[in-house]
Amino acid sequence: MTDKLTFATAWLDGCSGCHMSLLDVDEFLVDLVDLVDIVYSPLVDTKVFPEHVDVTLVEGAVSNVHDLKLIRQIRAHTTFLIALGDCAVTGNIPAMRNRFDVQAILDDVYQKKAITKDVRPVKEVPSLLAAVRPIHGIVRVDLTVPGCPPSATVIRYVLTELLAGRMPDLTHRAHFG
Amino acid sequence: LRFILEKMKIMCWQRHLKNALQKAGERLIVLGIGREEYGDDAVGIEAIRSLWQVLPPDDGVSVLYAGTSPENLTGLIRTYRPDAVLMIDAVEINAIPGTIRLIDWKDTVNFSAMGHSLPLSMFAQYLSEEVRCKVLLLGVQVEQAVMFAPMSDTVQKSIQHLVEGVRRAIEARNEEEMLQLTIDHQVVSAREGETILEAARRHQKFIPGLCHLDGLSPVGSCRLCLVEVEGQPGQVTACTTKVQDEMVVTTCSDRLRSQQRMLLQMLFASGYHVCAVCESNGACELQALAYRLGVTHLQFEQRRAVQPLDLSHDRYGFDPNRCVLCTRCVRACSEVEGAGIWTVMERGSESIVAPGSGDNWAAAVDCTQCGKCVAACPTGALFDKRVSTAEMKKDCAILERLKQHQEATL
Repeated sequence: MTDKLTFATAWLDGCSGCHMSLLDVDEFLVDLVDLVDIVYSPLVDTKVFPEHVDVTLVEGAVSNVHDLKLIRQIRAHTTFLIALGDCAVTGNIPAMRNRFDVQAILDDVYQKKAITKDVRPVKEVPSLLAAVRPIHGIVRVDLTVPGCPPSATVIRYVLTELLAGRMPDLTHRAHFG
Repeated sequence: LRFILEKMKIMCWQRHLKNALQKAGERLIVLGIGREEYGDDAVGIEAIRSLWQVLPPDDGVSVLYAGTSPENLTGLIRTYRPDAVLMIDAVEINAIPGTIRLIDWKDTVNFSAMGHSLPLSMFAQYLSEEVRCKVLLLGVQVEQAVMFAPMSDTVQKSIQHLVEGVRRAIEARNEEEMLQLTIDHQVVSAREGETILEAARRHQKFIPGLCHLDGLSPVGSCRLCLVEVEGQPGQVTACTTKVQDEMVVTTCSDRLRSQQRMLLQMLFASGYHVCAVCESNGACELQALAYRLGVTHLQFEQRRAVQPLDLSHDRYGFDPNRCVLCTRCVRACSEVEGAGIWTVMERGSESIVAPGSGDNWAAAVDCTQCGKCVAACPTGALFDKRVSTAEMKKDCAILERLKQHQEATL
C-alpha cells in the first residue's frame, strides 16, 4: 500500500465534464487503482486534502474564495499538479463573466431575475472573486491538459506516461474546445 | 541562300520553343500526331519515338502517342494537369519541305490540318480553355503525304533536328529554372522567383503561418513564418523572401519554435478566443497551429476588453474579438473580389479590421455578399450565420482557384 503513488482529483469551477471524461477511460481505471491510491476526489469520501499527494488533477477555473483556498492548499501538498480541461487551463466558460462586474451579476441573478427577492446566499455559497482565473494564474502548474473536456484517450495517455516516469508530450494530442 | 534561310528557321524555332517552355511551368505533355505509313505525315509519330529514347524518364515531361485522333487523349491530359502541351505534327505551310516551325495554335485555322479526324485548332482551343494550359504546335512542312509511301529524306533529317531541339529546350528549362538550396539540412531544388515558403511546401517542409494564403499577395505580417538564413543577421519571413541559389535555411530550430509558440500565445491573448463556444472550433487555423506547435496554455492575460459583434449583415457575422489581424479578408476583398470594403482601422496595438467606413457591415454598400472574406478568414472572426459549428469548413483554396481563373481570362 505504501509504495503506491498517491493520486487526487479536485473539482473547482467547472461542469464535472472532465471528471466524466476521466471515468471514460473505462477498463484503464482498473489498472489505475492497482498502481495508485486515489486519496482525495469528488469520487471518494475524503473531506480534507491530505498532507502529501504525488499527482493531483484539477478540473475547473478559480472563481470563488473556496476555489482559491483549495487550490493553494492543493499546490502546497502536491508534487505534480495537472490543470485538466479548458476551464482550468484558460478560464474558458466560467471566465466569460469577467467582462461584467461581480456586483452587477449578483444583482441581476438575485434581484432582477429572482422570483424570491433579496435572498442572497452569503454563508452557504462562497463569495465570487472579482475575476475568474485559470489555475496557472494563481499557483504554479506542472502540466496543462486542455480540452472541453480532454478526451479519455488524452487523459489515459497523460496518466500512462506519468506512471512510466515520462513527461507527456501533448503536441498534436491536446485540443482546445 | 536557301541553305541560310533554312538554317535561320531552325535556329528561330529552337529559341522560341526554349522561351515558351521556360515560361510555361514544370509539367509538359508532348503529343506525337500523324498517320503511319502515310509518307511524311508520320513525322509526329517518328519524332516522339526518338524522344522516348532520348528524354530521361520522370522529368515532369510526358510524351504521348496521339496518332490521328489526339482528342482521344483529352481525359488523360486533363488528369495530368499539364502547364503546357506541345504537339508535333506534319503541316502544309507553303514552306520548303522539312522546315520546322513553332506555330501559335490560333494560326492553325489558316492552314490545312493533315486529314485528321478533328481539326487541330478545335482540339488546341479545347486544351487552352478547358485544361488551361499553354498549347504549342511544332510543325514540319511535308514533302509528300501519300498512302504507303516512305518518308522523304528531307523530313527524315528534320526529325533529327526537331528531336535534338526539343530535348535541348526541355533540358535548358531544368537547368535555368532550378536553384539549389538547403532547407533544414536537406538539399532541395527550387524555381527562380519562388519564395522560401513555396519551395519548402513543395518539399513537404512545415512552416507555420497565418497571414499567407495562396492566391493573395504575401505581406509577411503575422511573423509566424520567420526562418533563419545562414549569413544573414536576424530572420526573414519565408512568405515574402525569394529563394537564392545555395541558400541555407533553417525553419525549425529550437529558437524559432519557442518564438512561434510565443507569437501564437500573443495572438490568442490579443483577442478573446474561447474555443468551446466558437463557430470555427475544429476548423480554425490558429487553433490548429497551437496543436501542432504544442501550445497548451497561455502565459499572458487577455489584453483587450471584449468588443461587440457585428451581426448586421444578412448572411455573415464578424466577431472582432477573434480577429488575428492577418488581413486576409482585406486582401481577398480588394484583390480577388475588387470590392475593397475591408480596411485596417486605428494604429498599432489598437488596430482593428473593419468593414466599410467603420460603422457596421450592413452599412458597407459596396459589399457584394460574395463571402470571399469569410472563406479567407483563418479563425472564427468571420463566419457564415447560416452554418453551425459542425458544418463550418472554410474553403480557403477557392481564392487561389478564382485568382488563376482571373489570370487565365485576362
